[in-house]
Amino acid sequence: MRWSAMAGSDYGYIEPLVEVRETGKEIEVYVDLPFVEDSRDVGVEVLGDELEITATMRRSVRWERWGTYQRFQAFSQYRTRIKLPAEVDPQGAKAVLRNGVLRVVLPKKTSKVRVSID
Amino acid sequence: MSEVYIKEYGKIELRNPVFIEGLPDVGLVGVISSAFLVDQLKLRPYGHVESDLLPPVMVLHNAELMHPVRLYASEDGGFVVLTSEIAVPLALQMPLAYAIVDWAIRNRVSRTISMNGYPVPNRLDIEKPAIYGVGNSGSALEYLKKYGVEIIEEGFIAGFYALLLREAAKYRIDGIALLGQSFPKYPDPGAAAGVVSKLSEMLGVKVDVKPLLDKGDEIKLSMKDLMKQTEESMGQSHKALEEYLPAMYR
Repeated sequence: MRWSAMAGSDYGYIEPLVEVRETGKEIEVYVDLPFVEDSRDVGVEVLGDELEITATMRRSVRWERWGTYQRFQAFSQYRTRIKLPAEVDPQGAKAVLRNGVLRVVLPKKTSKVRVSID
Repeated sequence: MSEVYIKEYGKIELRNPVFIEGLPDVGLVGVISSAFLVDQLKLRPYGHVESDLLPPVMVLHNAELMHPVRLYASEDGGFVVLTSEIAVPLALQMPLAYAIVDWAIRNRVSRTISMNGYPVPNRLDIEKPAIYGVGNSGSALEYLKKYGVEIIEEGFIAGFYALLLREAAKYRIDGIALLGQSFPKYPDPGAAAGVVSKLSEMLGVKVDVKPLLDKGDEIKLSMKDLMKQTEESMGQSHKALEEYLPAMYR
């Protein structure tokens, strides 16, 4: 499989590599977004227990395949939906894009109730 | 045929070569580094790994049929690089380590060097990844120190490079691993650039790593599928142990 970068094309979506880490109070989601440089090209939405990420590459990327049915496929967008391992408070979410990697930090919803001891 | 076999093409005469291992592992640092070395140093095909334990896969490059796990050598026979375009199945790792060490003994390999990633959770905040080293003998550790590589003194190492270090030590072949701080689950050309720089210093060859950094996005995207395969394979190989401290104390 070979691929090449193509300017000005818009053919479809590609699913990025994702890593989810869980700490005591937070969920950290890392998304690898090569060719994405500007945070304005990235969309982050919390949908219940899922996180949806969309992003636009600064240029399209084309995969060239051998074979009869699929000569090539080009992508200029990323899209993925990530199942979160715990309930989160979307209001406290923070995100940063650095060197093509997006980090989203989501605080977990706390429902801690102190129980009195007789 | 034994379970794992290194098929040599016999075109290059080796001279006490350094064996450089760059198989898929954390951050695909080994694969990115080995593929870059093959390309930049115009290394010549030396052989390939044959085994019934490999998946039924061949690779096509410019219509040429190739084995997925291949060896390349420098023109002068001074070093041999092992690279792979597929994740190495867990069942193959042990017999492959035996086969390589057997081959290394026959070819009077002077030392083995594994190129790998060292997973760090805060990689996003690190501009220039540090390079750490692991050695399988006193002289191997001295070698790392000579080149200013910070040595990992405590911890677990897991995966193919751990097996290779162990098996090489049994036959008194010095082995080291160069580990670049890397993203655990993404291809990391930045970490590979650091490892290649240190390796080139050790080999005494000039390698410009700028193309590796300039083409970082392209490399990351083209290795996305291999990273996924490798992650599945790493999940079975106790890789998570590398994040723990050993229980023994001194």
